[in-house]
Amino acid sequence: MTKKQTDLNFSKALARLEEIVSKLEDPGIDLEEGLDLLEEGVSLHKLCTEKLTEANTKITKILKSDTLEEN
Amino acid sequence: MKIVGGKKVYTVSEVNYIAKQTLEQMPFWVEGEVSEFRKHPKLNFFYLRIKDERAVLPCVADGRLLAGIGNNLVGQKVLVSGSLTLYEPLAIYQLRIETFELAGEGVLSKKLEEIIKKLKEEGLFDQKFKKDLPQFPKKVCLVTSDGSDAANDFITHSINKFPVIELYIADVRVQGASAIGQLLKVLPTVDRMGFDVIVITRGGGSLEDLAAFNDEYVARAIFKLVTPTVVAIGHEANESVAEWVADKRASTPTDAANIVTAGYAKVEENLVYLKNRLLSQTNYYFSNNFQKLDHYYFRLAQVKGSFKDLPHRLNSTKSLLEKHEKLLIDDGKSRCSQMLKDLVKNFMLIKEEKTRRLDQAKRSFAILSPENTLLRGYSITYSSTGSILRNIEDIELNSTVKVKLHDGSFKSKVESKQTND
Repeated sequence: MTKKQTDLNFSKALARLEEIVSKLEDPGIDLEEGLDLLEEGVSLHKLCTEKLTEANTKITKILKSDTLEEN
Repeated sequence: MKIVGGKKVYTVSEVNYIAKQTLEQMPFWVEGEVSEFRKHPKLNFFYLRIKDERAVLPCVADGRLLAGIGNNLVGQKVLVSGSLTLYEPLAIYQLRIETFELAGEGVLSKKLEEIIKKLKEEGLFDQKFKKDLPQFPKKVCLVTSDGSDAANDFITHSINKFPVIELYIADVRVQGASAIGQLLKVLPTVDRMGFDVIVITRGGGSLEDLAAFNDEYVARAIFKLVTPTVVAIGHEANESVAEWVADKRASTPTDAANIVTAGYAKVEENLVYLKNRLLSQTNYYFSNNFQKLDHYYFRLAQVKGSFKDLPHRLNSTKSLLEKHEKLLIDDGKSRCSQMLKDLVKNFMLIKEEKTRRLDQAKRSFAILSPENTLLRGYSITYSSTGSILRNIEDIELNSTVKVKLHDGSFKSKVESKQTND
C-alpha cells in the first residue's frame, strides 16, 4: 500500500476503487496498465474494508455505551 | 270509641282521623329530588314525588306555586316547605307544598349562566387577552389541594417525566366555604413570584364542589394574573368560568401537565426520531458500503477475464506471422529467380548490343585504318628520325623525309614549304 493511498479518506478511496474497476472493465485495456490498476485496486479494497470495519466497530461501541440504547 | 272489657277500642276511621290531626300540625322544609311529576287532568294542581337515597315522599302543589319553573322537574333538586296532610279513607299522607324553589345545581346553573353572560359581555373571555405559554417553562406553580389526585396526576405527567421543571405547589382548599377566600389570597401572591406558568386545577365533582371555580371574583382574579395560566377543573365534561378566563384551558390535571410540557415532549419526540434515523442511517451506511466493497472486489476478480483472450490472440498472431513469413520467403525466392532470369536476359541483350556495336566499330575502324587510307591514295610522311610529320612547321627545309604509300615507300628531299592560310 502506497503512502498516497493511506492518506486518502474513505470516500475518496472508494471513488478511486470504483474508477479502477470501471477502467479494468474496458476490453481495450493495456496489460501493464491493467496489472498496475489491479494491484492498486486490490490494495484500495483492503484499505477501504479495514477503514469501514474499524469505523463500524467504533460506532457500534459508541451506540452501545450511549444512553440512546437505553430507550 | 268504646270500652270493651276495659280496653279502648277505636274504629279505623277514628285512627285515621287522629293520625291526620297529629300529622297536620307538623310543618317541614324538605329537600329532595323530584322523581315523579304530573298535572291533575283538569285542575291546576300537581302531584309530585320527591325522594332521597332511601325513601319517597308524595307531594301536592298548587299550580300557581310552580309558575315559570317549567314542566319537567324530574331529576331536579328542589327545596320545598309545607305540612303533611293525610287522606283518611286510605291512610295515605302527603306533603302539601306551600313554598317551592329549585335547589342545588339547578340554582347554581342559573347563577352560573348569569356570571358567564356578565363576564363575557365585559370581554374577559376574549381571545385577545390570552397569553401564550412559554415553550419550555422551568418554574411552574401548581395551585391545588396538595396530595389530591389532581395534584398527583399533574406531578406524574410533568416533573416525573421532565425533572428539569421546578414545581412549586400552592396548597389551597378547592371546595367548601374557605376555597374562594384562599384562592383570592393565593393567586395574586404566586403571580408576583416569577413563575413561568401557573396551573390551577382540581378533580371532577358536582357543580357545588366546583363552585369556587365558578365564582365571579375568582374568575376576575385569574383574569388579572400576569403569569400565563392554565386551568383544568374537573373531568372532561365539566367546564368552569375559571377555565374560560384562563390563557389556556385543559380538560383534566393530566391534560394540563401535557399542555405545560408540550415543548419538552416535542423535543423528546424529535430526539427519539433523530436517534432512530441515526441508527438506521448508520446501518444503511455500513451495509451499503460493505456491499459496494464486495461488489468491487468481485469485479476486480473478473479482471482476469479481460486478458483471457491474450494467449489466443498471441497464438493467432504467431500463426499469422508464420504464414506471412512463408509468403515472404516464397515471394522472395520467386522474385530472386525472376531477377536472375531477368539478369541473364538483360546480360544477353547487353552482350548482343555490345557485340553488334563492336562489329560496327570494327567495320568503322577498318574503314579508318591507315592501310585503307593509303589505299585510297593518302600517304604518311615520317621525319628522318622516324616520327610522323603532322604540321608544316615540323618539316625542315632541305631535310630528307620518308614517304609511305600503301605498297611501298620512298625518300624525298624538302625543297620548299608553304603554310596554308
